[in-house]
This record gives sequence, C-alpha cells and structure tokens, in this order.
Amino acid sequence: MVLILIDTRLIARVMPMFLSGLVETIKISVLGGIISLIIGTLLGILLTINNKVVKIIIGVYTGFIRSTPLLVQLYFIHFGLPIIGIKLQSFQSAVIALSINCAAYITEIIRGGLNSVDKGQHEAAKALGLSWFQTMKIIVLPQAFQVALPPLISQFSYLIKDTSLAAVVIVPEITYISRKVASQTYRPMESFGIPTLIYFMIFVLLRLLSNFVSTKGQKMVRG
Amino acid sequence: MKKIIEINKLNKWFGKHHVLKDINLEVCEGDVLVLCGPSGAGKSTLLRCINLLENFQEGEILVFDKSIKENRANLRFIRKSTGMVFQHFNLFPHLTVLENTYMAPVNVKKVPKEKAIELSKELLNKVGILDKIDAYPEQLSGGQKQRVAIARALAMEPKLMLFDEPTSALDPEMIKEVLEVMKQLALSGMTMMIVSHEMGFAREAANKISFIDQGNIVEISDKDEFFRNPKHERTKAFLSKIL
Repeated sequence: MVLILIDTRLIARVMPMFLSGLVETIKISVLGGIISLIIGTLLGILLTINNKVVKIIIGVYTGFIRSTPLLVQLYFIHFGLPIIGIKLQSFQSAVIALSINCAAYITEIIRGGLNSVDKGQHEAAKALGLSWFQTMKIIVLPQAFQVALPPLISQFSYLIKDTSLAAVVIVPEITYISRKVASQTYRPMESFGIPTLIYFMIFVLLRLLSNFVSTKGQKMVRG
Repeated sequence: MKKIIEINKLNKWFGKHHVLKDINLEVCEGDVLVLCGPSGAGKSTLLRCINLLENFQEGEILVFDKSIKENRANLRFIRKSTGMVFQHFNLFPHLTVLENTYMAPVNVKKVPKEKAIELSKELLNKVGILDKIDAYPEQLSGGQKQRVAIARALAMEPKLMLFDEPTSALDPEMIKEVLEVMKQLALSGMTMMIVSHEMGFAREAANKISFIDQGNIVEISDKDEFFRNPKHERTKAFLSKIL
C-alpha cells in the first residue's frame, strides 16, 4: 500500500540534497559532541574539587540550561546576541547553542562518573607518588568514563536529534533540506520519510559504535 | 641508627574530636614497628599522616629527614620512597595485575617500561602471583589482591613500607599467606610500620610494638619487653583481652 505512494525516481533525484544535508548534520554533531565533551569533562572535574564558588557558578549554568528549551536558547544566541554586537553565522549559532546545551548534561554525567570512583583509588595513586594530573588521567578518568559511557552515548543521540533544530536558523542540515524538498515537490511522504530513515540509521551506527567502544575502550584508555 | 621517621608533637583534630594528641615517635632504619590498640584509637590516622593522606593541624613529621609539609618537593619525594598497603587493597580495577605493578615506576620514576616489567615480574614471583599477571583484580581472591598490592608498592623500590590493617578485610584462611609475605619483607631488612591486630605476627616479625589508645601513644617498647613486661595498666588490660 505504502509502496504505491512512494516515487522512487523522485527519491533518486533528491538524494544528493539529502546527502549534503547529512554532511551538515554530521558536522554539527561531531563539533558539538567534541566541544560539549571537553566542556562537560572540565566542568565535571571542577565540581569534584570542593570549591563553593565554583560549585555555585557551575550549578547556575547547568540548572539554567537544563530548565530552558534548547529552541529558545538557539533563538537567543542567533537573534538575541546580535543586539549586543555578537553576530554569528547560522552554523556557528547552531554549534554553540548545541554545545552549551549538551555540555550542561555531560557535566552532570561526568561528575556522576567521577563520584563513582572509590576514594581508595585516589589514595592509592597518591601514595604511589602520582601527581593529581596523572591520577586523573591514568586512574580516575578511565574508570569514570567506563561508568559514564552509557549515559554519554544516549546524550550524544539526543544531541544528534537536536541538530534538527538548526533548521530554524537556516542551517542546511537534513531537516532543513527535507522541508525544502517538501515545498518544492509536494511529496511529504518521501520528503520526511527519507530524513526519518537517515536519523534512524545514524542512531543505529552510534549504538554499534558504543558497543564496540565499551568492549575495546578499556584497553584503549589504558595507555 | 639512621632515623627514617621522626614525629614531633603531632596533633590532629577531626572537627572538634582530638584524634592524635602530642604524638612523638621515632622509627629507625630496619625497624618493624607494629601499632596496636582498640579501634578508633587513631592508629590508622597516625599511619596515614606519615605520607600525608591525612592532613594534620599541629606538629611536624620528618620522613627521610625531610619535613613533609614544608614543600611539594618533599611530599613528592616522601611518597615516591614510601610504599603503602591498604586494608581494602585499592588495586586499580581497570588494569591487569602486571599493569597495576609497573604503572607507578613507569609514570612516577620514569623507569623504562621493559625494566619496570622485569622488576614487576620478579616481585610478583616473590609474592607468588606470577601465574596471574594478566588477570584483572576482580578475578583474584582477597589474599591474592593484597599480595599484588604489596608487590605494587615494592615496585617503587621504597625505603619504608606502611601497612594499614593489611589483613583486616581478609578471610581467616588468607591472612596467613599475606602475613608470610610481610614476614619475608621484614626479614629482608625493610623498614616497616604496621597497623594490625595480628599479635602473633607482631611477636614473630616486629622488633618494636606500640600501644595506642584515645590518640595517645600509651606505650612503645621492644617486642619482648612489650609482651613480657607491659608497663602501663591500659596495655596490660588490652593484652589480656586479645592474647
């Protein structure tokens, strides 16, 4: 039934557009993922150093970000900031908004991972003469990431889905392309069916990658 | 005799609780000192002050003639030259037995990896774990874990070993294998400071015993003197209960 409704020649015709959209989606996701992982890890580590002021500042940041919609944050960065002279291109706005948003969640995930590492691990490392940095790098972070990996992966899958919001600031990623294709062809079934499948395939790939990393990752982080 | 540890007027509080009161103590090269006493007396806390895992408010601790709180270089030197064995082993669960053992010499002392591995294997052989070098800590029994922990500490080639209740978390049948390793170590001339309730071990391997109660060193004397002729009433009462 559904098959009759699908125009395969049309699909072949619009596929290149979707592929360029996919590239854009991947660019935003990878950049946003890396930036938010770095910010989130740094803030997560800072939270374990018992400093009240630092804790309050980071708490305000994560609390504020997590209690406001990402779409509004994106609007604010893209349309609000130019008023005070900060003009960003669509792509930059999207990456910054997604990074700031995702980092707030990753901060909490990393903090949880770090807290799960037993105090005795820190003590054993100290007693052996390891510096704070070495203790973090060799002993604590590998164990924390092992614990944090499943929630991190689901956070990244949210991030990838959230890149679709970049369409509202006219970044030519998959969702934007699908709207464009729909308005040009008047074929909503194909126009929105294809991106749905693409998003789903990205998700499946991410799952496979996470399974691979969680089994091999232990070896990789060991150095 | 060369002094390894010298503690002068050490005072420590946990909040308002005065855990260590005016502690003075000397440990010389080759000494095997066992700290005993009721739980909560401050034995472990005292031991943990020696490599500054536990901070203290007053007094001074010199290890290898270096004041531990004077600067970071002293602290680093003392920790590098002091091995520590914990009640709960604290092995690194994401590293194999061999990696646990050579990790510190490679990263802290910058020993070439092959050399560190060679030494690690030698030590693991000495503590009887050579067949398990590629296992992860979770695959070992408690006694095996503690023997690996001892090898890990020895891999740094320390001049002083601290033992914080090394057999308290072990099943009775595993205590012996760990004590045997410690006895060998004592015989080899290692300077050791041990918090333990194992009076049989103390009788065999220690040369000095100290009784600690309520944050005070009630008594410290040579082993024979301590068992045969305890001076303090508190010590007598304690010994009569546990022997």
